[in-house]
Amino acid sequence: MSIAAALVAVQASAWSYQVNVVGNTVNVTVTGLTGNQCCGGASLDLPIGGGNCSIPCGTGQQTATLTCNSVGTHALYIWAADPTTPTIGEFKQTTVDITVPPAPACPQFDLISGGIKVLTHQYQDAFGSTVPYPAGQTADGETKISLRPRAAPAGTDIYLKVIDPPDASTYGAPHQSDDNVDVSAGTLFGAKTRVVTLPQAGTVDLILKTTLYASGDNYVVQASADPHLVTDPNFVCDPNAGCRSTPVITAWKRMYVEMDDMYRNSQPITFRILVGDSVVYVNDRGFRRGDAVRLLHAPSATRSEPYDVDGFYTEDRTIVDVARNNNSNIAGAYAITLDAPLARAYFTEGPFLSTPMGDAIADLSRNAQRSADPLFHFSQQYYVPAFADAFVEVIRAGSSGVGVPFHDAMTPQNMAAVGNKWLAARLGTLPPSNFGLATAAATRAGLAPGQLSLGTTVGSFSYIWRQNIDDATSGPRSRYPLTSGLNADIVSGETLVHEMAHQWQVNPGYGDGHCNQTAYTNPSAFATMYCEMNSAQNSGQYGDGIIRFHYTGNSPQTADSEYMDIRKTPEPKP
Amino acid sequence: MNKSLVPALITVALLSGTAFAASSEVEVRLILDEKNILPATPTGLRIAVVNHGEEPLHLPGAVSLVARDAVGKMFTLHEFNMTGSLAAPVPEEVRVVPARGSQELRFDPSNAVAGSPWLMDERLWKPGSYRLRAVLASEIRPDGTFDAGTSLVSDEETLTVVGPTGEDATVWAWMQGQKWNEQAWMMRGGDLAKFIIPEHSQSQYTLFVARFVPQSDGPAPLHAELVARFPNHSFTDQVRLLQVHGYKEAAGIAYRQKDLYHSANDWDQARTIASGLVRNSRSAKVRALAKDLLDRMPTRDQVTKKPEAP
Repeated sequence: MSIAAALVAVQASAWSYQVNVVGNTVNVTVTGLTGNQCCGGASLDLPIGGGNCSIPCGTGQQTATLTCNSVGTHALYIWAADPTTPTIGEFKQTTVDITVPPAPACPQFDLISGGIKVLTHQYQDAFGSTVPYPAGQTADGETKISLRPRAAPAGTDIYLKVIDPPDASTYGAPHQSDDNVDVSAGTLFGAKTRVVTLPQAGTVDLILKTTLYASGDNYVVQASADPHLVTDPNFVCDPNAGCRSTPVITAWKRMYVEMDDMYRNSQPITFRILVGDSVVYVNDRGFRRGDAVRLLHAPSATRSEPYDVDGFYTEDRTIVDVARNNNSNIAGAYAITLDAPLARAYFTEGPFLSTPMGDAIADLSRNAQRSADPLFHFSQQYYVPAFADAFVEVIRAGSSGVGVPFHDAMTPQNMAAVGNKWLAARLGTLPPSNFGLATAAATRAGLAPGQLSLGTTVGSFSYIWRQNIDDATSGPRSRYPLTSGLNADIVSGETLVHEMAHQWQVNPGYGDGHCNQTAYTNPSAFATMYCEMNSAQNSGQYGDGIIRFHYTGNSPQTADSEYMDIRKTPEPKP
Repeated sequence: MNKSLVPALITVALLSGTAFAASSEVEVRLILDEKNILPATPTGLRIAVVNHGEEPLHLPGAVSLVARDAVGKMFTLHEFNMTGSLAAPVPEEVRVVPARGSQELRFDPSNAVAGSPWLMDERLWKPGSYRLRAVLASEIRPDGTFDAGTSLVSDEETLTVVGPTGEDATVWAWMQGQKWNEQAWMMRGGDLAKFIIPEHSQSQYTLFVARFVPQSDGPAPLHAELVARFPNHSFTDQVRLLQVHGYKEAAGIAYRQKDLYHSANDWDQARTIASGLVRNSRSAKVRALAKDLLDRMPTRDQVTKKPEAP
């Protein structure tokens, strides 16, 4: 057996590589790397990426050794990452000829999955920038599975089977195999089994079609030259016997949430402001000379006015005078004079869902809570891990940056109307798919005496009543026996999770989206930990920073659980 | 001594086999502005409570509507479909019905259609007849049940959701194709307007897209056409209110341009429409709103005698 060797030197932009084939082995050296950290690697037939990394970069060199290669011509992908490359690294490609067969001990073939996470839907329809699919995915509910020959001769039949491993969630454990919700999904070209023929070189690519809605459903693809894999239900996929398995591939939903903050003190303008104006008319007192103010503009609630093309904008000014308006031709009880003319126009608008609409002026210096911060906020530390437990990837969507004018004692109609107008994602009229809005706001209306609302959700619009939360956590125990003394930020973060769960219309069997259950597990200091959606009993636990929903039942398909409600909800979400 | 609530009749769970009845001392009537409507469109309604007794009557705090379809299936309608809420509060100012007196609860359609009480429940969007009753109760539970012992139930009013024909059918088919719902009315009314106005303006659905046409620079010509075409429709008062807003905007713009003649004319138009609503609207809420708008409008003399611009 002769030794085939080839040496190729390629000079590229910031880094280069050398390839040396010795027998069946391909040795790759990446050179010219720079910076505090650098990585380099190589793969045959598929641009897999990844490799060795050094901190600091040192010699600027990384090596990769590829063994057990099949005979034939292969695409060789060389990957490198350093400060001169894109963040995810950079590929370069060449070809190599392998003429020496692999050693007998080498595996017969590789089974390669593009990734372990598959989105049921990407839903990029509503936003300017697209959040990419996870690695290996290029279409909704699909991921690529590849077979690559190593020692197996060309023409070898490989049998494949898609199996449903036990659910990976911590709730409802122990789980069983074949517990996916969408039992018909998880196919290779329409079937749970498949046979393919290995080529001499290169790969055979297959598409694993997963569920298009049931997040948390998971799959493993097994491959073997032994046909019993697909005929014998008791067949054990033993890697020592040449059977290969992908990692567990799990379906995830994705939702986008726009998070907005409401001003603590603003008033709707009552008379249109033209470019160059420096007087603003409002109906209520409360703004003073010297206050810093911000003019707030959004497109019309109907997104049908000519000025909507200008989108959202703001301008900051200082008040130099506040006086009563005695001109009956101009709507508004007070005239606020600013220190400089405004460079943009601001508009009044008719009511929408019985809610005053139109642009507003916010006071940045003065508010009822005497807060130095002119905006309400909520904590964002819990929602990502909380929804990951339901296999939902939450992407925070960009907001307008304008904020939301103050609305006190909001009715559900107010919530719908205000969310609809100030929703940045609604730059067109189409509501985005799998989209939600969460707004840190003041208070809601219509509560019976003695009732306290920390948050409310109307459709896809959630409001976190930060003023109520602040009052209920800082107020006396005699008045707020369950919430007094709790950390307001934590309560706001837990409330956000609770309200976002409402957007998935959980607990349909309980009437109003709440439940009366305990959490599926109790990692807290409480003797009993209540479900996050058990508002009545969980009120005193909204400050513990532990988010758990309930799960009762023996199977993901039939369990009573917010997790499963979310996982089973068809997409796009309501 | 105040009179306690007249015991009402039954819970929703019992309704299917039992006729509603009212006490002889209290009469509760549900009156729809229109008894025939197109699918997915609203109308106004009122609930009149007449107290024939000699003592004041305190009404319960919540009101809901129960529907029975043509095959007898009964369901409690969502007052605000987007939240799934079943009941509206009974305003404090009408909670007491004086002896031998009456009170009225009025529910107007929303100018955006979305948010119109009860009529946005998609279970009512299928053509057919629905028998409706109003329920006044201290609490409407999430499952639609209520305390039979302390509730009042109205007589029955039939609502017919007509099967669209002609241009209406074309528009309704488009809406169904878009999976139309209450949120679509709110967020996509502009899309519907763009579909209807250029080629399907003879459809009666045109009335309901009035809020979704531009009016920031003055009254939309479509609004005047709709008022002339549907002068007595319940929704038309909402269009008239939009007209008032449009003329106010136009008057303000003219005033800013020191065009006092047109400003005064626009205020006159706004005043005329608002006055008409004060006199003629079937809705006490619309009458009160129009009166408030009217009170804030400058007179022609005020407009023309104060030429200084801001």
